[in-house]
Order: sequence, then C-alpha cells, then structure tokens
Amino acid sequence: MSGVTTCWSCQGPLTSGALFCDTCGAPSAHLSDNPFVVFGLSQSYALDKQALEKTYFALSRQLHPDRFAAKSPKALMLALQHTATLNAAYATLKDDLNRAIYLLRAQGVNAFDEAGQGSTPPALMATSFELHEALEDATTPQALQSMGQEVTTRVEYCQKRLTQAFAAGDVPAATLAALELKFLQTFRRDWQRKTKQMKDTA
Amino acid sequence: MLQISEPGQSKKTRPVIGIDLGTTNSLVAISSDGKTVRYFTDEQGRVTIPSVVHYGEVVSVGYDVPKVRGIDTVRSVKRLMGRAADDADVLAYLTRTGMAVDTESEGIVRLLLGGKWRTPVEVSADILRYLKTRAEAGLGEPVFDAVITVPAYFNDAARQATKDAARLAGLNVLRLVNEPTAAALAYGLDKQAEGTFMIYDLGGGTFDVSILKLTDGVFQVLATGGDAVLGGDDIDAAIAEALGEEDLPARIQAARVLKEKLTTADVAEVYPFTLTRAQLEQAAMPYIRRTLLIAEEVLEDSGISADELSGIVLVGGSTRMPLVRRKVAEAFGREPLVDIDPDKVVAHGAALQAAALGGQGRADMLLLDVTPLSLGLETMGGLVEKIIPRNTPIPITRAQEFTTFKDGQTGMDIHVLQGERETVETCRSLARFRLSGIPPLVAGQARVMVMFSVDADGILTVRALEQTTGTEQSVQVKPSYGLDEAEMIEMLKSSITNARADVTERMVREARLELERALEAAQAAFNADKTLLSLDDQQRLLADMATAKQALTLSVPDEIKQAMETLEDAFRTFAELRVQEALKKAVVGKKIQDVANG
Repeated sequence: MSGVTTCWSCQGPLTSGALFCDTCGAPSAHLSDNPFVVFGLSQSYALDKQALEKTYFALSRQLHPDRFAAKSPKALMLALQHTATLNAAYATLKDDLNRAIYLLRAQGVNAFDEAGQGSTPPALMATSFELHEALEDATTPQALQSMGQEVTTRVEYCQKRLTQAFAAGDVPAATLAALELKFLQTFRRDWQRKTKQMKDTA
Repeated sequence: MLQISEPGQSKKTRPVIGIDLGTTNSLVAISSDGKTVRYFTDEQGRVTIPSVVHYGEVVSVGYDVPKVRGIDTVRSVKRLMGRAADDADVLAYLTRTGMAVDTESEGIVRLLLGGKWRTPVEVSADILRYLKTRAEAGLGEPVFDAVITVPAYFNDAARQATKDAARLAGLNVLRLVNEPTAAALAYGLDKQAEGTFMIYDLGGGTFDVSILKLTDGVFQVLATGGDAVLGGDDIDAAIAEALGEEDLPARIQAARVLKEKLTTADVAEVYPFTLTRAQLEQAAMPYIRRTLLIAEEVLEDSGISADELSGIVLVGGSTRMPLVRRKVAEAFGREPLVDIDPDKVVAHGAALQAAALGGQGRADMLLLDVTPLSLGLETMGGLVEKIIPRNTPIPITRAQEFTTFKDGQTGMDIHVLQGERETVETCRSLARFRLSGIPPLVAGQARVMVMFSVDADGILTVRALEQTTGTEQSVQVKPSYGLDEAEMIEMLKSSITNARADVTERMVREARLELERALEAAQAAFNADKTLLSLDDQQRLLADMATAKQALTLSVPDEIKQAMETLEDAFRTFAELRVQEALKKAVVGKKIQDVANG
C-alpha cells in the first residue's frame, strides 16, 4: 500500500505516485522521472511495444496541456511539465538502445557517459575500423546496398544478444551489446549519407 | 439553504475561434460542438479574406482595400514574420514588391506604410484584428481566445512573432497549431480516416509536408518538413519572369490570374499576355520538384514507405494546379486525395482544435505534434551540438551538461541555434546570453547544465544552471530581430488595445481561472467527503463557496486572489480531516493486506 500526500489544489489526500487527484482531477505536483515508473512498468528490458504505445496515448490524453488550455495556469504548467516528462520517458522506453542504456546506467555502468568513454572494447574497435574501411571502398550502389544489409544483420544480432543478456542478468554482456548497437546506429547514418550522395550524383 | 451549482457548468463558456492566418488568404471559423464548423463570412458571403492591408486615412483589410493599390498596401507579409532585415528571403520580397524598408533598423524589418514604419508583426495584428471583429459581429459577443495556425516549418522566431501579433490584436492564443496538423484533424474527423497519411500543403508562401498516424482520435505527427518561403507566390514570380518586359507588378498580377485560369483551360489570356499550360508548367516545375524532394525526405524520416501510406491529402490553394496533382501521383505511386476544399481545410481544423481547447470538442481527440527543426548550442570550433533533434514530440525538455575549457573561467556564452547542419554559420541563430558567476575552477571542473524546453506551441525556452553554486540564467528565446517586451508594450500603447488594459486583462484572466479551479476543487472535495462534517459546518462551507463565486465577477486581480485564499483557508480544516481519514483507511488497508499476505 503506497503512502498518502496532499493535493495542491483541493488540499485533500492524494495517493503518492498518482498522476491526478482522484477527488478534484488536478494533475499531481510531482511526477517521477523514472520512465518505468511513469508508465507503471516494472524495471526490465523486455516489454510489449504495442501496449507501451497504448499507455502512451492514454496518458497523453489525460496529461496533455491541450486538456488544460482554458484552465488554471498552475494546472496548465504542471500538465506541460508532465507531458514533457512523459514524452522523454516514451522516447527512452520505446527505443531498444535508449532503454538498455537507461537500465545499465541504473546498474552503475558508466560506459555511456563522458567519463566512461575511451574504454571502447578492442573487439568493437576492430569492427568499427573494418566497417568504416569497407564503407570507403564501396563505390557502387550494389556494394552499398549489400553493406546496408550487413549492418541490418548485425543490428538484429545485437538486439538478440541484448535481450538475452538482460534476461540472464549479465550486465557486462549487455554493456558490450549496447555499445556495439550504439556504434552501429551511428555507422548507419554514415552509410545513409553516402547512399544519398550517390543517389544525388546519379 | 444556499444552492451552489458546479462552477463551469452554470456559466456560459467563452467562445474560442480558429484562425488560418495565411500568406495569401485568411479565414476565421468556430465550432460549438467539435463537429460542425461555421465560417464567418462578410456581407457578400465570402469566406476567404485576402491577407492584404492598406494604410490610408484608415487601415483597411481584405476586400476593403482600395482597388488602386499603391505603396501603402502590403500583401504576403507572413513571409517576413520572424525574419531579420538582411535575410536573403526578405531582400527577395522587397525587390519583388518594391517596398521601402528602414535600413537604420537593427535586425527588425520595418516597412514604410501610410507614412509610418511598421513591423510585419503590426501588419499581421491588423489582419487578426479584422478577423476578430468579423467573428464578434457574427457571434454578437466579444472574442478573446483563439487557435491560430502556422506553417509546420515555421521557426521559433516566426512562431513568437505570430503570438506577438495576436497579443497586439487583443487575442489570447490558446494554441499555435501547425497547418498540416490542422488539415489532418479536419480530414481525419470528417472522413473518419484511420492509418498513416501524408499531408502535402502548398500555400501562397509556404510549403509543408507532414506524415501523421491517425488512431482512435489521436493525431500523431511522425515527421514534418518544408520550406518557409516556397509557395504560389514564387510560381507567380516565375511566370511573370516568362511574360516579358512590362512593368513587374502588372506582370505578377497577370501571372496570378493566368495561373488560376489554366487550372481548367489549356490557354489563357489576360491582356496583353497569353500563356499556355505547357509554359506555366515549365515555369512551375523547379518549385514542384523541390517540394517533392522535401516530401521524400520527410517520408524517409518518418520510417514509413510510400506504399504503407493510407493516402496523400492535398492542402493549400496551389495544389489546385493539375501539375501538382500529376507530379505527386507520379512520385508516390498513388492518386492524391482531393475530396476536401484545400482552401478551407486548415481553418476547419483550427476551429475543431479551438473547440477542443475550449472544452467543447471531442473529449478523446488529441494532437501530438513534433519540432520541425533541430535545436542546439554552439560548442568549440563553431560546431553545433544538437540538444533536441527535429521530429521530437513536443512538449519536451532536454538537458545537457557542459564544462569550462579554461582554468578559472567564470563566464560562459550560450548561443542557441536552430537548423539541421553542423556548423554555426549554416544554422539560424536564435539567441545569445551569458552565464556568469561560475566559480573559478580548473578547466573541466565546473558543471553547467543547459536545459531546452519546447512548449506545445513549438516555442523554446532555455535555462542555464551552474551546478555547484546554483547560479541560474533563463531566457525566453527572443531573437535579436524579434520584439522585446518593452517594444511590445510600446506598440500595445499605440494600438487600440492599450498596454495597461492588456496587462490587467491577462492578470484578471489568470486570477479568475485560478479561482475557478479552486472552486471546482472545493466543490469536488465537498461532494466526496461532506459526511465528515456536521450539518452546520457544511452550511458554512457552502456559504464560503457562494461568496468566493461572487468574486469571479471582480476585475481587480488582487481581490480575486484574496477571495481564492479566503476560500482555501476556509477549507483547510476540512482538508485536514480528509487527509486524516485517508490515512486511517490506508492503515486499515495495510493491516488487511498484511493479514492476507499472511
């Protein structure tokens, strides 16, 4: 059973963690910035994305500033802040990499922070070098297309490893897979840029 | 016994109008039920109003503008909104229209109209004032609140300029809605469409394209893009170019008429000019090609392929050109949907959203929009670090930590930019400010948190916070070529709505809304828990509510505030009782749960 706080608007009881006051409907003064808490989910990597979107729409319907446009400025300001928090939480949860990084940070992993950079694993350095060289050498649309397919395969494999590592509670393996996924996403942008250039000059 | 009805139900709600403030034409409409839309017309029954303003003895707008147009008449002023005086697009506009601009004015565009220098914000305010008056005449009551549409690709400065114009016109903007989003809303609700749609919106001066997913009343923008200075005006200019040597304004006027005639005819004549459809299409093709390139990029950004689209909706007068329809069909492999009026659909959507915000629309309807352009900060070496990438759902707040790069550095320049490229010169500068008072530390030790917040209108606020001392600087991003608060007040003073009235009206309005909220909360609490009180106490609270309700008619902000505080004080003991009761229940609940868990 959760605790009881007070509602800023009707001054009455408010279940702590509730988004709204049950009595007067005012948005609560505080909203957790833990995305899992915002969505009422347990803190785990595996999640149902369709259900996530449904919850996102349902919460947006309640919290969006449009619902408070012609109402009390204070309620409107809270709605604005909460919707910003909700949007940020949704962006963290729906993206596999962002969700993984959030969970790993919560475990104390600093490989994704500025302080922890420079600790790129040697295997990933080698992959990076190899892929960038291959991208430079790819001069035909066919070569680029097959590279694109390779990246997709690697991404899928990474996602699989990530899921497995989280399921097994293996933090080092999950960190490795997340670092590689992060690299692949950046690399894919380079690949897209080159593909576009080739298309434009053709 | 005193009766108190639920606040909000007894009083009549204020009307909220929807305005399509277009480059070429503007419209004003209202919806009282969130379904049907009423357009406010003039005596001749005309719905669209040319966005033209003439400054003569009096200020006239739209069809009231004298037929013989001179240098005191201005059209397409939307193209200048939020732009710097030395902007290339502004210069092109001035060349085309032959208008005089104040060269002494730093940054801000000022046009010489009716013997006075006027900013685009003031001209837009005159159009808005006209629309407001038209709505008031139609409704027979004053109007204060509005939803105004803006191009999705409008940047921060142009959005702020639009809100400033509304304020000068005495309108409170409940929301700026992106034009393609408004169109999707009108189309989706009207046709009960579900799925993913492309909205291709080519107006007189702006081009927008948005990809939206429509599910169960939720209108979710997946990606948006466009060109804030590409539209029918440019096509007219290109045709005029092809028409030969005559006087340029005459050629432009002829071009517009010829283009419209060629929607159905193959050859058109406006003395002394003749134009074939083939010639028109040749002149228009470069612009259409550019719109298609943008549309393809936006589609790619959305992660949707052309064959996954449920439809392409054409919006804006320029999409009447057969060439546009043909080229869109070719590019995306499907015939575009043309079963709506491309001129009215944006105002229709604005009216529906206005109804929703005023509490009269469909309760399940929701617009989820995005930022059209990336927002970032200048970092070392003239590079731009993106804080909020384009197509991020709004409202949003993102923070990033920065550090000092010199030992003992006590200040930091924060330069806010908007755009997609990676260097400072290629992005648009929005604002600069300096965070001072950083404690002198070794380079890399100080920690400065910069927070970007974009509200539901797409307007940015930036805060910088030094973490160790808590020194804070905050700016509502007001670009150097926009108007600052002092100038706004100055303009309000010289306008019909004077400054003091504007400021007081705002404060009264906010105090009233807060009192209404407190009354609703009090009534809800009373309804829920009145059994905790003796009948005498119940009577007393009802009387307190009735007294507070009377304060809603007051027009001194402090008096309204005072009434709210008195009401809240009166309810304090009752609130404490309610909390104690809830705590008791929570304890009981816990005990039962403990027993159950065993």
